[in-house]
This record gives sequence, C-alpha cells and structure tokens, in this order.
Amino acid sequence: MLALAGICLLASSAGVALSRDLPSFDWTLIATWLLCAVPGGLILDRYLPERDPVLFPAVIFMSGWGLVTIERLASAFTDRQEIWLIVSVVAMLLAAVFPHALRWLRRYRYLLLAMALGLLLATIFLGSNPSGLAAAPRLWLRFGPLYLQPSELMKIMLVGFLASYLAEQSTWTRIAKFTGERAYQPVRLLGPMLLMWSLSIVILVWQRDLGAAMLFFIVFLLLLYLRSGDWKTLAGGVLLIVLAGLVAYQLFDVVRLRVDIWLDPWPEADGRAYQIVQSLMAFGAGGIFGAGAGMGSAYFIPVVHSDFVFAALAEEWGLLGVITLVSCYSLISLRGLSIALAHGKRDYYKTLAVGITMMLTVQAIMIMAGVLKLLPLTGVTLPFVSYGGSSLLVSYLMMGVLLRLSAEKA
Amino acid sequence: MRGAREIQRISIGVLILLAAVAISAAYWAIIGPDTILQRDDNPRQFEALARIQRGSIYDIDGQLLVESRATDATIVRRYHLPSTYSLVGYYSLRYGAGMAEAAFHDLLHGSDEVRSLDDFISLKLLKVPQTGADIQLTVSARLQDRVVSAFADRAGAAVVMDAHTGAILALVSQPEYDPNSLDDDWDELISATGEPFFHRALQGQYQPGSTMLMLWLAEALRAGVGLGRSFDNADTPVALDGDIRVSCVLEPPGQKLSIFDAYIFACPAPFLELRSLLLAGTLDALGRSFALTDPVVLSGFPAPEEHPSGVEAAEGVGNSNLRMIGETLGQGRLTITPLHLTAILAAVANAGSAPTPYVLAAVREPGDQGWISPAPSDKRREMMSAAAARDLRQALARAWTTLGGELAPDGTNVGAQIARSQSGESRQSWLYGFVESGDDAIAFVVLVEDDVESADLLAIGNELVNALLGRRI
Repeated sequence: MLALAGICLLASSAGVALSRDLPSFDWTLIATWLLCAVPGGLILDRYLPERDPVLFPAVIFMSGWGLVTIERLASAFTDRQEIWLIVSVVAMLLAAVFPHALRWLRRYRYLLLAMALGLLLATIFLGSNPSGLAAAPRLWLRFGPLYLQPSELMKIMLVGFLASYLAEQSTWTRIAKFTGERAYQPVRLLGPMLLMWSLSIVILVWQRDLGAAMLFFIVFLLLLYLRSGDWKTLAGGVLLIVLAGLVAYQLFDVVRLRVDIWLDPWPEADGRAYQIVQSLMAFGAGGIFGAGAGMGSAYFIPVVHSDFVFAALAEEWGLLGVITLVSCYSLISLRGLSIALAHGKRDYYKTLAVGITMMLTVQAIMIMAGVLKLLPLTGVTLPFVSYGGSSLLVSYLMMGVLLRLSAEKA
Repeated sequence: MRGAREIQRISIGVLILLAAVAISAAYWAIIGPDTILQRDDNPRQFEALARIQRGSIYDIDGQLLVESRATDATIVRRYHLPSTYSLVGYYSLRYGAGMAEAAFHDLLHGSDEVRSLDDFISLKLLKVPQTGADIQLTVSARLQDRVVSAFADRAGAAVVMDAHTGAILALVSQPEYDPNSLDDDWDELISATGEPFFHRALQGQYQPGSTMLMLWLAEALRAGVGLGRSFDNADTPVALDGDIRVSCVLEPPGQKLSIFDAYIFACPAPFLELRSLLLAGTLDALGRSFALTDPVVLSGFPAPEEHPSGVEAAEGVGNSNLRMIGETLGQGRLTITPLHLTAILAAVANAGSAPTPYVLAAVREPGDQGWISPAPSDKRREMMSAAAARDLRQALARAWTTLGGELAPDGTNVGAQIARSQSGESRQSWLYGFVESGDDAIAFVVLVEDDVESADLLAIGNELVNALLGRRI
C-alpha cells in the first residue's frame, strides 16, 4: 500500500512539475515524503507488527498528496510543511511505539487537560495570528518562528480525558443499573455535557473559533452516546448546538456572515462569498476526471492551501479524486471503529479509539461539507492534507495512539 | 458486546455523511459546467479564453494578417498590417471581438466539442488548449495598402468587389485604430470624434447625392426613355431645402445636354425633368430595383443601424416640391451604404445581376494542411437588364475619360464617375466605377467624408484603377 501511495504521489508530482518549469518544482518534498513513509513503515513493522496495516499508508498518502498540492498552489509554504510532516511522523512513531502512552494518557488526564486548557486560555491574552492581520482570529501561540494552535492540542487531550472519564462512568452506570439507582444517571451524564457545552461556548465567544467549538461538542456527544447508548442524549446535544447556533447568529458577526453566505452565496460572489463560490466553481471545473495534475485554477480560491485544499484537489483530480479522498477517510473511520470494536470490554481503549476516529473523521466531514456548501464554513483544516503544522502534528499524534490501540487489540 | 450497537450506528452515520459529501461533489462536478461555470464572474472563463490558440487570418495571397502568439502569461493577438486593421477588427478578452474577428469568431475560436477519441484525449484528458481554424480572406493586402495610402489621412471608406462572385477585394474604413493596443486605448477610442469603431463602408448611411443620377439613368433605360433625349438649361443649378445648391460636378460644354451627357457632367437639372417623365411612384420602383429598402450586408459584419426605409416615407409625408427635388437628387431621406452602392456597381459590371458579397475565401482546420473553400452563395439580386447595364458601363467609361482618368490598356475597360452629397452638416465626395479585364470585372466605391477637389478624387481613382489593373493583368 505504501508503494502504491508512492507511485500515486510520484505521478502527481510529475504532473505538477511538467505543468511548470521542471527545475522550479521542489523535488525535496518527494525526498521528505520518502523519508517519512519508508522509515516510518519499517519502524512500525519492527515495533508494532500487529498494528492495523492500512492506517499509516492511508494517512501518509494523503499527506503526500497535500504536500504536492501545497507546492503547486502555495510553494512558499512547502518547506515549512515538509518540516512539520517530519516532526509529525516522528511524533506519531513515538506515540505508537512508546509502550506507556495509553496508560499515561489515562493516568495524567486531568494534568494534560489542564495544560491544554491553560494553553487555550493563554491565547485569549497572548494569542497571535501567522497572517499578522489585525482582524484575524488570534488562535495561535507564538514560540519564536513557530506557531502552535492550542485548540489542536486540545483535541487529543480532550479525547483522552473523555475516554478515561466516560469509561469510569460506565462502570458506575452498570452498578447503578444493577442496583436500580437510575436517578443518578442523568446528573452524571448531563453534568459533563453542560460542562463541555460551556467550554465550547467559551471557545466560540472568546476565540471566534466556530469550527473547534463544534468539533469538540460533536465528538463529545458521540462519545456520550457510545457510553450511554441513549439516543435522547444525542438529540438533546443536537438541540443545544442549534440553540447555540441561533444565539451565536444573533450575537457574532463572524457566525452571521458564515451562515448568510452558506444560505445564499451568489449575490456576494465577488465579495464576501468569493471564497466559497470559487470553491464550488473548482468542483465544477474539475468535473469527473479533473483538470489534471498541476492543472486547473484553484489558485483563484483565497487561502486554498489551508481550509480549501479539498476544492483544489477536486479541481485537479475531479470527482475521481474526491471519491479517492472520501474513501481514505471512510477507511480511517471504519478501521478506527473496528479497532474500537475489537477492544470488547476494555472501555477506555474502546472509547479512546472511537474518540480519535471521530475527531479525525468529523473534522474531515465538517470541512469537506463546508467547502461544498452542505454546512456553513467552520474554518477547520482537512486532517493530514491541509497546510498547518499544529493540525498535522496532532492528527499524526492521534494516529499514533490509534495505531497503538490497533496493536493492543483484545 | 457493550457499545457494539452504538459503534455500528456511528459508523453508519459517518458513512452516510461521507457519502453525502461525495454526492454533493458529484452534483457540482456534473451540473457545474453548465451553471456556475457560465457565470460572468467566473475567472476561469477568462483564463480559459486566454489560453485558446485562436486561428490566424491570411489575405487571398497567403500573407499573414493576424496571428496568436504565446507570451509568458497568456496568448496575445498580433495584427501585422495597419491597412487591414479596419477589416480584421480586434479580439480582446476584455472588450470582445469586432469585424472579421467577430464575424468568423466560431471558426477562429475553435471548439471544445469532442468528436473523436483524439479530441477526447487531447481536450479532456490532456487538457490541451483548444485551437481555432485559420481563415483566408478574399481581400488583397497589397490592394488594401494601395487604397489606404491613396486615402492619406482622410476619413472615409472604400469597397472593392469582384462583380462576378461578390468576393470583397478591399474593404477600408478610416479613421481606423490599432488593435494591438486596443485594451490600452479603449477609453480614448470610444470617445474619439472620428468614431473609429464605426465602419463607414458597412454601417455608414449616407445621402447618395449625385450617385442617384446613375440610378435615375438606369430607371430611364428601364422605362424606355432614350438617353439621347436632350434638355435645355441643363447646367442650371438646383436649389434644395436648407440653402443647398446643387450644380454640375464638371463644367458642361453647353446648356443643352442629352440625359447621357447630363450624367457624364453630373448635371442635376435634367434629372428633375427626367423624373417627371417617368411614371408616378418611381422612387418606390427605384427602391425595389436597387433593393434600397433591403440593404446589402456582409454576413457576420456590422450592418447599418437603421435600414434606409425612407423611400416610402419620403413620398408619403408631405409632397412639397423641395422634398421631391431632394429625393430625386439623393438629398432626401433615402440613404445608402458604400457597400450597397458597390453592389449596384457590381450589377452594372455583371450584366445587371449583383452577387452576394462575401469575404471568407477558405478555412484551414487545425492540423490540416489544405484550405477548404466554403460554397459561395448563389443568391443574386437582379437590379437591371443586361442592356441597361451595358449602357451604364458606357456612360461610366465616358465619364471616366471626361474626368481625365488614365486610359485603360487594350483589352480592359474602366468606367467611373464622381459624385457629391451632403449628410447633415458634412459633405461627402464619391468616386464609383468598375474595371473590366478579360473575363474579370471589379466594382469599386470610394467615399471621402469631405468636399474633395475633383482632381484629388481622380488621383485616388487613378491609384485604385492602376492597382486593380496591375493586379488583374
């Protein structure tokens, strides 16, 4: 599978290189990718032979695809993304190979969550934006030349915390069911739900980060549903999302703008809705077979290499490319959930596997649906593909944990 | 197993959402090309146009007039011969196309329609920019050069047409513009007083003035009025509405002139009497004979903005003597384009039958070596009898020699006359005629938007006739 991913990447790179002057193509990205893919695969084979064999080839293929696209559309960012890819794959390998990673994630859950929350809160006072624009949301913390987005780090910490917390509650739930003390259950479940909802609202209010807020809350709801088996919990959560959305629409310009553009972008196709309209045009221009590697005009989409990289891939590779990418996420989702199922009664591992899988898949669905105008745009990245160091690092970290979980199947 | 049912439900939900994403992408991929990509604000359209390798334009002798050249960022159109600017027109991504570029846009632009496997591979898979066909025009760049240089900087128009086939050999409108710098000059050009985008040969609706005398002469021949019939006081100037006085264009030898001589010296007075000799309603007949209500146009090129349908209206509204005089002498509501007058001259040179004018000689499809000529139109307008046409040729030949035009070599025949008209505040000078050489016959009209001395018009005529004879013999 890795070899197949390599061939695809090479073909894609050749297409991009041919579409411009060959020497101007940054061939080091191929070397970087090989440096990540081959040793990464070998190390996993050596230390984690029982792991899921599909996940790593799938994500490294997507990262390579993203890297080639970034090189074509925003080549100034290629070098940085290459470095982040190396760092991320190393982090993934550490998480996957380190034998105590899962246990530590559980044991130090409060500490890790507190650290992540601390960093997140620090953005309120110390936050900055790599673009340097005054009006841009300050979601990053700057460490010299590096920018770190704490909300990305929050993903893995939150999933680890929730998996651990809910796994403990399920033990309690079983006892409560056995003794007939059902009256306590809503308090135990509703409490964390309201806490999470509050956390999401805080993120939304202070950081204007609609995407992260929605993502955290949806993943939390899914984990709660997993542990409770009660669909009413899910429905109640959805109601809360709608309620929060309505209030946010009234209170926050950024939310109103995104919802208005989502409902009807066409009157402002040259203005505020330019990005989404150009994105939809990219899908139209790509058609079934795509414009071809290195072809197409996705550079008309502002900040295409970040949130809208999916549209760029659709224009170059057409519907076939879209289906390939969606298949990759379907594969991650199914393999991740099958890993969860394989853990049987080990609730913590099971919940952790579902949480990580959902964090990656829901994020992918949110941005892909946003780019296609199925949902309002939420400003999250496409995991493993988009430009963005923090996102890439945390996605690979989560993948490392998932690989570890796959190797520790019951 | 605990949680298994929930995990299955979650996985089904996720797969449904991912399927929705794929279906939505399919929706835009399939309907997009016919909907959102057709929007005016789609920058891809502009970019795709800029990549198209538009076909080249050649003259009848194979001289390259226009070509597309690739630059770093895009493909630009290059126009090589200034004398042909007013014919080939312009092609601009910003402002569209004009003249030949517009008339043959579909050919030059090419098509992205997939008609074969090669097309599919080239256009759809390899995304090779579409290439348009090359076209060859019937005009001669050399002749066009001669006409333009004879014009000097005067505003006006000239049309030269093969009287048998309708092939346009030269088509000039001045002032013209440089299509190479159109995008930069656009604002200045559209507000320029000379109206360079207004093609005088095709769109200019001028009062025919004393060119009408030829039409009355033809009408007299049709009605059986002998050309030898003489008129007293033939050189008397005629007063028109608006303090305009029309007199003989050339000094006649005496006051009594036959209708034939009156035409040669372009004296108006006898034609007023001639009209009274003809049956009532002759202006209508004149309009029908020479298709004045159905102006001759060049297919695909700009046409007159208003059809000269004033023939009936002129007679219907009021009937004053002045109006009648004005109508008779081409200073009424009737207007004519230089192209239309050329078609009438072509009928004179072609036994009374005017061919349909055309300018496209041949097409060379992308990748082909050979040129393919489109089937010529067999539509003709019968404007007069062959005998009347012969008599008119004689009159024109006499007029030409009387004017002092250069003698035609043996085996050739040249006839031409000059005329004056006034449209609004401006005056026009006309030179119209024909050249015969062997089986070839060419009709021409030159219009100068100024009151030009007869000698100057004659100089233009001599230049043109020499160019035509030099080319044909």
